[in-house]
Amino acid sequence: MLTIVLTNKNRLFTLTTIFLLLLSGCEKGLNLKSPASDPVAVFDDLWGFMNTHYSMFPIKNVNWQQVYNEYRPQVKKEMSDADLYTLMSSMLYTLKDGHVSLMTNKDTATYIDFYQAHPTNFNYSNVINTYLKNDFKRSGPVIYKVADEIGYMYYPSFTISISESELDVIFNDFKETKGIIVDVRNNTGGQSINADKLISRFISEKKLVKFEVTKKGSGHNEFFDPTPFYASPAGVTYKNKIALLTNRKCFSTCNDFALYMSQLPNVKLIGDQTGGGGGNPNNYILSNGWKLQYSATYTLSPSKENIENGIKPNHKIDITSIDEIQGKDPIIEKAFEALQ
Amino acid sequence: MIRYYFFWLHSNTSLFCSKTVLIFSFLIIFGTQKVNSQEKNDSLTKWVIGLQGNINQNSVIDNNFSSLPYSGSYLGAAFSIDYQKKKAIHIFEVNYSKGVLKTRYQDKLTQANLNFEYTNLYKFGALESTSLIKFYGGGNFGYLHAARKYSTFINNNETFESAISLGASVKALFVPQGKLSGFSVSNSFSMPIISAVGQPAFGSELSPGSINSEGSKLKSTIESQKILNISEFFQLKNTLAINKYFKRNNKIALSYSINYYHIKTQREVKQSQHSLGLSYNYLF
Repeated sequence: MLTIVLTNKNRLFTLTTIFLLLLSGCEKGLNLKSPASDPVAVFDDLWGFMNTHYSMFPIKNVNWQQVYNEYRPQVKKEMSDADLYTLMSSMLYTLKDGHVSLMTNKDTATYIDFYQAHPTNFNYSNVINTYLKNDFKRSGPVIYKVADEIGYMYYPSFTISISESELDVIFNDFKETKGIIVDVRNNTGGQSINADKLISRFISEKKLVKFEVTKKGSGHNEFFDPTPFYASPAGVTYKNKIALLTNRKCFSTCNDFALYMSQLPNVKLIGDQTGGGGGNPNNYILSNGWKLQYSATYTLSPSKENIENGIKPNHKIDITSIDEIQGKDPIIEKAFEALQ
Repeated sequence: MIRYYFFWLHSNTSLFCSKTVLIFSFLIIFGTQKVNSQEKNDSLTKWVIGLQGNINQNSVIDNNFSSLPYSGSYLGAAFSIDYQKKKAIHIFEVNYSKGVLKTRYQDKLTQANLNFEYTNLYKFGALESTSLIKFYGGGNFGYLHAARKYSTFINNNETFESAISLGASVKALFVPQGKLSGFSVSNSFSMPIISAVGQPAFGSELSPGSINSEGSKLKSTIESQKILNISEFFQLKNTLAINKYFKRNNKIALSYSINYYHIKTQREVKQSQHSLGLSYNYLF
């Protein structure tokens, strides 16, 4: 039926050809397969990834192996997604890190005690009604006002971008003031570039503002040498007295911004300690499609102090519930006093 | 031998159904032993310039970002120059493709692949061989660059891997006659032996904003470059092509390629790319 006469010499070639053909036929074996996504596999994926990539182990003082020993026996093959989610979230809470989250397509579990367990120290309505008297300007995400030679600006979230021209508008209006209040309370962070643009308005020369420390390998203590970061002045800058208002909800990029500002001689931090979150978060997709957010770096001040636990204010002031009811904000009032 | 081969294929249904094996089997059945005039032309000194459009099915797992594979199809293009003189063939090829890959949960990434390869092959046997199948062997120098941007991830810049490799290549060329005169089928296989691989350092894709970090990115990339052997950087490349000559100096080719690699560093990455390409070649 199939007759092809081959010489002896060609047999070797034919065999080799067949080998090559079979290799071409192996394409299915070269396809990448999804890993197991049962509860045990997902738990091990989460724990293992955090074990190798989480940057805060040297700071958090958590024995991650002990955490595994405690939680792993609770994982059962037949447990529901909801139970697995609750269990894995509880395990991540042991890190007490607001940058660590577990996200499904329905829920997100994030540690929030860094601000929840502390006084709020901010009431937006009171600021608008009592101190700005419902009369203020807006430039980009910032609301601001100038009155009695004092400027006030509120940047609610670094997730909302601000342009250089929007900043120029604000700082041109602040030109004739003797001092300004920069309010970043309840700013839970966002894009670093927005904090970078803002700090560039408060410095007159290139300045070392922080060190960033990146993981070098999978070990808990494997890091590159700290990388220095510098800010440079840009646009219309401000050199008079500044009061920076902070509370525990000032987190992540806001925490970095408070660090930058705390190094300037004309700046006083007033209010509560910032919430921390010094380090860049990143994401990882688990084998069942859930998304993990984790701290992938940590941040040091120019004097190499870790800022994961927040920046302390120069003047610690709390807003009591009575203050709030009376429409008062003692933190702003302290700022007015400091700027006189 | 051939009967045994077909019996064996029949008993391995998945392999028998493989497109590669089917194509080759078809050609073996209808081919003849004699060398046709086209094969003789293959022995002459010549230049061949080729342009190819291809569709690629890609899958990638970068363990720094996901334990799930990202997969998808996208278009690409390739340009090649072959130079043949007596028994030696020099092949330069550049291939570029870019597109979107997704997990089965619809997380997206944008990936670009750039491959450059120089292959130097030497024909086994006599120059004017009358064999149906010609064999070539030699070495190759390859460069690959894969860049990925995870669009749904926060804070991370583009990640990538680059590799330059020295490896071995073999090629089989089958030139049938009779009803299929004017066709030829080739299969090229290459595998790197030693490679230098560059990846960003562990976690260094993170974006710190606009603040000047004084070249830290470059530094971390350099620190993550390594020389890897075949077990640490494992790659298989295989291309099966059916060529049809027409109007003396023209050739079109339909090709199917597999490019699989596995980088076993701390930044473990696996990628498989299947390409179906259609190319036009002009022979000088």
